[in-house]
Amino acid sequence: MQYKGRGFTVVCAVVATLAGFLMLLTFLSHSAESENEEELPKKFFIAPPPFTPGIFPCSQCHQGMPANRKPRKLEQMHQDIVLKHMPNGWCFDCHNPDDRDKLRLANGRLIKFEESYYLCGQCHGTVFRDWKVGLHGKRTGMWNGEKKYLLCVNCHWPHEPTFKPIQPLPPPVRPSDIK
Amino acid sequence: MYVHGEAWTIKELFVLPNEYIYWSIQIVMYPFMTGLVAGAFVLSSLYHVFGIKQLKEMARFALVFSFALLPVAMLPLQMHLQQPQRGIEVFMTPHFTSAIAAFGIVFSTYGAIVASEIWFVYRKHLVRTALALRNRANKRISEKIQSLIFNALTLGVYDISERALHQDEKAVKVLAGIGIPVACFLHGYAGFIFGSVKANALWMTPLMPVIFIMSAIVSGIALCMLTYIVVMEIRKFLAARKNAARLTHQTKEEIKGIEINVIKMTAKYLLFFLIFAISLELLDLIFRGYTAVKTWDILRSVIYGKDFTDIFILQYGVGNLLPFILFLLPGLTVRRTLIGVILVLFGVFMMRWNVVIGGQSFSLTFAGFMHYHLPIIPDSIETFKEGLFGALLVFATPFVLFWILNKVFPVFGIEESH
Amino acid sequence: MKREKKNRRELSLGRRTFLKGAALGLAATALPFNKADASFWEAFFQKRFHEMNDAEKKQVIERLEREAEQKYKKAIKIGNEKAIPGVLFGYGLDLSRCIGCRRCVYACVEENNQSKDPQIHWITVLRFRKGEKWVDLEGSEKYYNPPMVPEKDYFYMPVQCQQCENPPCVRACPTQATWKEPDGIVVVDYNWCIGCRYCMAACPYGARHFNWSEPGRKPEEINPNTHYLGNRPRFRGVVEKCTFCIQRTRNGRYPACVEACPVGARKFGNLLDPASEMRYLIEHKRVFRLKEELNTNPKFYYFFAYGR
Repeated sequence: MQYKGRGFTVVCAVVATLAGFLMLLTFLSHSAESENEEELPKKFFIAPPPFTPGIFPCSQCHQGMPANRKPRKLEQMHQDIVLKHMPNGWCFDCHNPDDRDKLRLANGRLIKFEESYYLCGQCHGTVFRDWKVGLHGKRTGMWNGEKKYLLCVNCHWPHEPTFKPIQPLPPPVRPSDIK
Repeated sequence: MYVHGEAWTIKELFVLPNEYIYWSIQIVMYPFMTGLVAGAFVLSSLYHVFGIKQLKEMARFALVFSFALLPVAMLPLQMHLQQPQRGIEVFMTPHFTSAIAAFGIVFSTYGAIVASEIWFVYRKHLVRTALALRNRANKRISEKIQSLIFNALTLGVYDISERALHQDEKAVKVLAGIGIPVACFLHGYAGFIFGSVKANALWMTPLMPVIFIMSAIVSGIALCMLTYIVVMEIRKFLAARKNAARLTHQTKEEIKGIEINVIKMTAKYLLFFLIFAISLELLDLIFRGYTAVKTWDILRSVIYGKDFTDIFILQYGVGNLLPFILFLLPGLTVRRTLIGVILVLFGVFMMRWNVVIGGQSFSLTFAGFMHYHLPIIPDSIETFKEGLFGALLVFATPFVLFWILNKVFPVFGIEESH
Repeated sequence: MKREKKNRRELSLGRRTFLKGAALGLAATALPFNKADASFWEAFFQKRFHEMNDAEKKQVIERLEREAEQKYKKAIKIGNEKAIPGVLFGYGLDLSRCIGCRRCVYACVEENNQSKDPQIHWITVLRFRKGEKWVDLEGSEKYYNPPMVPEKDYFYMPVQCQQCENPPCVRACPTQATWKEPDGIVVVDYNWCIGCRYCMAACPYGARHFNWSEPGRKPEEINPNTHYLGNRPRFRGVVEKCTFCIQRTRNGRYPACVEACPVGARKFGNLLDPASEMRYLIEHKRVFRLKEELNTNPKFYYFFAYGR
């Protein structure tokens, strides 16, 4: 066996590190996006959450503020939000008291506001299943291409999700009314 | 547990568990026989009402034959009913929303009309015979019975003056006139029984009563022609044999033989009604195929697939087209007529078969078939009644009745009132 | 003899003169006095859509675009996109969600250039009372106008062309002016329709509408993106109907009514694509179609979102 010299060892080490690093990267990136890619179709874009302007990120105000976990009627702020959803529920059933920029699932997992459908899907599983396929909710975009998926909250305000009745557009003209 | 219909139903694909072919050969025979009744009557009315002189011979014949067929109409029903002893309830407590309930009224009305018409037609003969028998001394038993019958049949009216006979003529005309719509109703309602069943895709059509009436008239005319030819041949044959001459009351010379003109004239009417019947049936088929509603899929597979031979080859081909050609070819002979009418009768029978059995050969699921095979060798009362021999019994009975009736109301060689 | 000959000559001269005059007269009518007259003859001699090759179709479309521009003082584009292969369009309508707001009706009117005066709506929303017999559509109300929808105890069912696979209207058309395209859309060639309205009688869903007079639509309201077989400006005396927004769907977009529905009651997609929402719909939801016993085989599926 011939002695290749020190340069060879260095090259081998660099190549090995690079390869390992690349593998790590792919593994990480794959696991991070795996949930989304498995469940939602390839070409999609999800609308951003419809925040009231300036309200997000919540940590603007809530950083450092102690969390009062006692269910009560709010008085100083957010008193206009009356929860008419989930009887006997209150804010911290969905919002995360420790980090207001996230939502909290029942199993303790934290999710971003952009992924709020997981939260709704906990109780509304059948609707979530339909939504993932594209069968629930307003449908815009391309039927054979990029479909636009709206978040649940883009249509249903989570604090009072029932749709209010709206005024219908005019009925057709009766033939007897045509002059 | 015995299931009615299991003996002759074979199921294929998606058939519901309680579905069988419940209406078997006897229900095919029933409209066939009532059709013959109505048809024979219409034929006799063609003379009595419309005065078509050439049909005079046939008219008398047809009238008596119609009367002979009438009781036979009930026979297939009695054999089919699983509670035949209660069959009379249709007459006694009819439910008039049911087409079958019309049976009671129509049947009785029609029977009354035909009976009255025969009485008026034969009154002169009845009175003469009754008087002759009454005046004879030392009657034998059979003659005593005959005297009783004939005297009873005169209904106490012995007037055979010119005026009375003229009135008889008028009565016959009226009765025959009323009788035509009643005869149409008699068979129209049979068509209505099928045509009004919206559950059955093949039966449901408003054309059904009209189709049934037209083919009934066709079959009636055909049967009368057939029996006429056969009887005349028998009579000629018997008259030729010296020792049997007394049976016919006439010599061979006196029997004028089959009037080919009568045959030709009747054949013309047969053709006319045959065209009518075929047109209506084809119209029904074409209409169904064109509009193609949901049930067309299964009907198409029955009509063009399963029953193709029965419908197109046997009924339309052999039963309609072939006799059509036979009758249209110039120089009609008795032999050709004989073949033609037999084929026509076969065609009408096949039409009833294709409607009754064909309508039951697909399941209510529209996704399965049922096959009917006629029980030939009976192995129980059931398979006798609803099998080949039951059907033959029904078909043979009117001829027997006709022979009996001929003794009282002879169709040949007498001077009748009309 | 001479006189007869003379008479005959006179006669034949008379005939010749007459024929000359007639020919001149006919030629005179063919002279383009203005652009409209020229296109009248072109329109009259236009071949059937299927018989034209692409160049002829292009010519026809150019003429139509010219005419439309003249009429509406606006550049109108008339497309002629063909059916995408491997596509059969299907439509889903969620009866548990429709609130009867009619936004689909008016979105369709805006997108498809329907006449506003006289009013033509391609979509009709029917209202039924809950709990009463409704499947036969006899108890429907289409002129409902409450202050707010949805109303308690009522439900709503929009009806438009069902795009049947076995369309009775196509069968009924005596001139083949309406036919089913390979992607399943039943279309009308407005330049071939003779206005007999047999298709309207034959349609069991009342989905076809007739232009009894010249369509009244203001030029600023015209949608310039049109299709020859779809929403191009129509004229008096022709039948029109929903075409699944052929100008949109053949370019991959959703029909206008699907995008307009505020509650997401409308679904659309390719029935032949196993991954589409339409396939999922008909495989997993309780679907029904209107008047199925008539065997028209519509591709418009009504369903209820709840339950499988």
